[in-house]
Formats: sequence, C-alpha cells, structure tokens
Amino acid sequence: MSTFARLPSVILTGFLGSGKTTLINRLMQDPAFQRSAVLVNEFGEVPLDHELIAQSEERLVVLPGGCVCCALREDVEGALRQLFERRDAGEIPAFEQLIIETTGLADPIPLLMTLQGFRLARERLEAPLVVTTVDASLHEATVARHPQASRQVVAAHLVLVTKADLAGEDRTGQVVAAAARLNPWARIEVARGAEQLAQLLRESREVMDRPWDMKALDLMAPREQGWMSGKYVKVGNAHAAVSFPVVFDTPVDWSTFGVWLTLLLHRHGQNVLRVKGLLNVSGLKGPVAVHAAQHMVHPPEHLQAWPSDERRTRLVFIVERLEPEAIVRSMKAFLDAASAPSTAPHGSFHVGAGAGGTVGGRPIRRPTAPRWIRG
Amino acid sequence: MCGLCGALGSHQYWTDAAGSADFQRNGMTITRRDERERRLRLINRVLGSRGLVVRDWGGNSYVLEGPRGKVDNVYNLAGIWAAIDAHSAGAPIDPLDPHLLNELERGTP
Repeated sequence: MSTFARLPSVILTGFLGSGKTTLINRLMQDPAFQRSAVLVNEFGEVPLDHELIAQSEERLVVLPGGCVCCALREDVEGALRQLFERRDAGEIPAFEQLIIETTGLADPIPLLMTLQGFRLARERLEAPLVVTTVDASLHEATVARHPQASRQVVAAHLVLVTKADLAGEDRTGQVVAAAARLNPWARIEVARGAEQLAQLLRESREVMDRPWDMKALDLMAPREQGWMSGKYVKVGNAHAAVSFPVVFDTPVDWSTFGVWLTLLLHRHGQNVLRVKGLLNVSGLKGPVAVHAAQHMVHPPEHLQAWPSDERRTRLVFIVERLEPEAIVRSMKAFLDAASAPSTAPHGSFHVGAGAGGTVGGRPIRRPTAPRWIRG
Repeated sequence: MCGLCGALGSHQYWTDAAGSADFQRNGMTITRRDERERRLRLINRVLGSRGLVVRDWGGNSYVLEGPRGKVDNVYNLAGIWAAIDAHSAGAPIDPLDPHLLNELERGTP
C-alpha cells in the first residue's frame, strides 16, 4: 500500500500543429503549474527550458490476443517509473503534477488504459484530465482525413479551440459547435491566455467523469423524444465519428445489457469511441452510470437516486464506421430476446472423458470437474 | 480493465451484479447462479445454429463446447467471445449481423 499522495495529471493531446506546445509553454508561466513534470513524445518539438522534462519514444506493446487499442504503452511506463524514482531519490525537484503530451497522431485511449492498468500510475497519479487542442482554422480538413483527430476530441474533458484569430469568428463558432456535438460531456473553450488556461484546468478537473451529467444527456436525448428519435449529426466524411443517443422507455435487464455490450465492444470496440449515460435497470431504485471507451470499460456505478425526474435509460454512443441504426436494432433485439422464453441450453456441465479440450490453453488432464467444484 | 483481453482486469468482471443487495429481480437479490444462467441462456440463443454451446462450470468459469467435442475453459464474457471466435473461423460472431438480428427478432432458435 502506497503512502504517497497522488498527484494530479493532465494528458495533453491534439492533432499535429494544433498548439499543444504553445499550451504547455503558457501553462508553465502560471505559478500553479511551474512545479510540473512534463512527459513528451517528441522531445525535439518542445522548446521548453525546464528541468522536469522526460522523453519517451512511442513504443507500443500489443498484448497477446489483444488489439492495437489495448496496447500497453511501454514507453510511458518506463518514463513514469524513472521520473518517480528520480523524484523519490531527490535527484529532481518534487514535482506536484504531471503533464503527458501525446504525439499529434496518437489516439489517447491506449495511454489512458496504460495509466489505468499500470500500478505505479494508479498509486501515484490521480485520474488524468484529458485536454485536447483543436486548430479552428484546419479542424474540418483534419477530421476528414485523420480519424485520430475525432478520437482526440471524443476522449477530452476539456477541448481548447486554438488559432481562432486565424479562423475568424464564424469558423471558430462552427468548430466549437461540431466539437460539442461530438463530445457533449467536454467543456469546449476558445483558448485565450495563460490565466484562463489554469482556471479552466482547475474547473474541468472538478467536474470530470460525471456520467450522470444531465446537461449532456438532455442535450443529446431531449426528454420529449422517444426511442431513437434523437437527431445525430455526422462530422466530416462518411467514416468520421458520429454521436447519437439511445433512449429506452422500459427498464433494462442488467445481465442482458452486459452480454450485449461486451459482445459489441469485443467485435467493434475499436470503432466504439464512447458509450456513456444512465441505465434504468430493472429491480434497481437508482440508475447505473455506464461509461466505456473502445475496449476500456469503467466500473459501472450504481447511484442511489435519479438526478432528475427523467428516469428512462439514456445512453450516448460515439462511433466510427458503424451505423447507428444497426447498434440500436441490435441492443433492442438482445434485450427483447432475453425477455422472451427460450429453450437454449444452460446449467452445469461435465467435460466428457477424452474430450481433448484445453484449460487456459493447456490440455485438460482431468476428465471431469473435480468433486469440490461439482459440490 | 480491458474488455477485450481482460489483461488488466480482476476476478470481478464489470458485468457482475450478483452479490450486490441493490440488484434485485422480482423483489429478490440476484444470486450468482441466477445471473450466470440468465447470461448463458442468452449467449446460447445468440450462438444459435453454430454448433457451439457455452455452459457454466462450477460457478467460477465457463466452458465452451465445440461441435466436435473440443472444449475451452474461460473466465468471463470477454473470454467467451474470444473462444467463440476461435471456434468460428471465417465467421466471427457479430452483434450487428443482420442475419443474427433477424433470428433473434423472429424468436429462433
């Protein structure tokens, strides 16, 4: 059990040239951020005169049986370990927070998964605040060509729209609106200066990861609308990310929902950028807050009471290359099928002698379940 | 935790509601056995005519039985789907597959 206080952390992401480095430089001017360690992927790009900069080369380790989005970021693990060892040994000043800057082409989810799964990160860092910079003058063109740009917006708690002076008011307004449609949970702000920046980060950290944020749900799935009648808007080209609401009037069976969502994420997780919202689960008084991003599922949280008198299941999906209608139809078909009577088999099972099966990849030596399991 | 490979997960999978007094069905707390049976009934319905059957094994894990008697032991839903894929060369199971949805909507099998 660690006795260290956990430090705040920020993941700074944004497409190439969207102003990440400028943002770090501005942050460093703020007294509250001067004692920050910065972990960057592209050392040469950061002209910072700062002793707490660590370099990491992008090295992804794909887990056996896993996919790229489940890759562990070995580089980040190594760099973090080194940073904290040097901090604890007194070789570098005791930094009070950590800023991790991703490459412009990175999808932030593997990094988030690494931080969630890496013990040192769990023990020494608070859950990271994801800040995404978006270039107002180039965002539309970037999103059309590079899906990562949408993924960076979807993963954000705070989106900072930069280069508004170059883009002009109208275009900046359009980019802000598009980002808000794509990620209704994020706070979207036009970047102005160092003072505003520190304040925004503080405020965003206070409200981050609140899946029961009714403002976002009301925006995406208005109360007066019924099942799948919410509008959805595609941003960019046909393969770009799309966000849409799913509203379910009747309570949902939790076991069935779990079967369906795990299968959806298993098959299409790379293209399910986010699922977030409140479920009205049959038999439960309060709602269950659900939040998943690609193959990463946050532990669902059972709230004791509904935050408002709107008690329908409302989920917002943000997907890429998947048809919203197919997802809605699939969820409904699974929920309906589970409530209908079935003759499908279930129950206990004995492995037949000489069945030639495997347990954990190794041949089964024991022909039947042992007595202590059979009971 | 990772929903696909489970590498970062623990014994308690995110779908497990059993054991929590909050989760009830028909006024009764959901038991582990009820939850697993309900889960397996749906999974086996989804598997339909693939010749695969998933069964509970001792309340701790699941066993996927293939058409030729080959069995695999897995520990959670992510493991079940991965094992089904391993048995379904060329036709991985897809929750958005219109044929599967047609079958579920028709109430077959």
